[in-house]
Amino acid sequence: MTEIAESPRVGTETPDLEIILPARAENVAVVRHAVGGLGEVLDVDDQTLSDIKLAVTEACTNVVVHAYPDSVGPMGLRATVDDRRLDLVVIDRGRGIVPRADSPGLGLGLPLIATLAESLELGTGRDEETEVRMVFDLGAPGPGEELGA
Amino acid sequence: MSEQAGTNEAIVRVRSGPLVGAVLGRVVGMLAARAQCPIDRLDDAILLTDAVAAHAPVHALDHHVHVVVAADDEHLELRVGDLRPAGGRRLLADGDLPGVGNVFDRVADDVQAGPAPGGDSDELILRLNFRT
Repeated sequence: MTEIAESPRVGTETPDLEIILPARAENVAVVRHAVGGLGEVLDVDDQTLSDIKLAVTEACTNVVVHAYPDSVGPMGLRATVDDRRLDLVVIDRGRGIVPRADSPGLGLGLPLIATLAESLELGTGRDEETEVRMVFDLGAPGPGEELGA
Repeated sequence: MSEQAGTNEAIVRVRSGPLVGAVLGRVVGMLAARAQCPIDRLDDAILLTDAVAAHAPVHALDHHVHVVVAADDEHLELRVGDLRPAGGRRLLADGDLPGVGNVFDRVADDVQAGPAPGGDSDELILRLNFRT
């Protein structure tokens, strides 16, 4: 079941993967591609990986479109895997998630993520960064899958 | 984070293991391609990335490989950081291939190994020029 919750503090403490890039449109594809690598290593089935990539793409696109109206700031992804549960946090240091009357989008991004993910949380991190936290169930592991060294 | 026009920079931190090569290779490939890197140099960049992914985990300080990837119209730079003391030179030495030489020295146009600014860790910097 999918739920959207407001949380004052979300975030992963020791992520398995962290990427930080300038919040530019071209870099959404970089993050998406990196998530593809994550899915490959974790032996995630195609449908689940497609859902994860779409959700991450939506979250990163939100950062590019909304977080920095007059400049370019950082956009980050943190990923943590624990017992076939994937925690993904998309981070920015922009103005936060606020209603926007002049929004260029249709407002479907977050509802779409909520549909794709097991859970979705919006919040503020330790350093006051804006966080969109998504959790995915990766299903049964493939033979020999192991993330750590 | 650099915000200079024309420069793209990714900070990548990955837990040691199979994820390093899978993620780092994709990030380097994408940034190099976006920077209009020639195909032969793209191949070189992936070769360097594979070598870093294979050897850097042994020298990493905290079981995570930390790489800053910077690309612009002229070059691609990989800055492998958070290495143990002398880890930069040891990582460089790991690139020795019998009968071939050192893959880092042979492929990269500029190689620097030593203490990182601040002195708390070591780093290896690899630079590829797109135009000779």
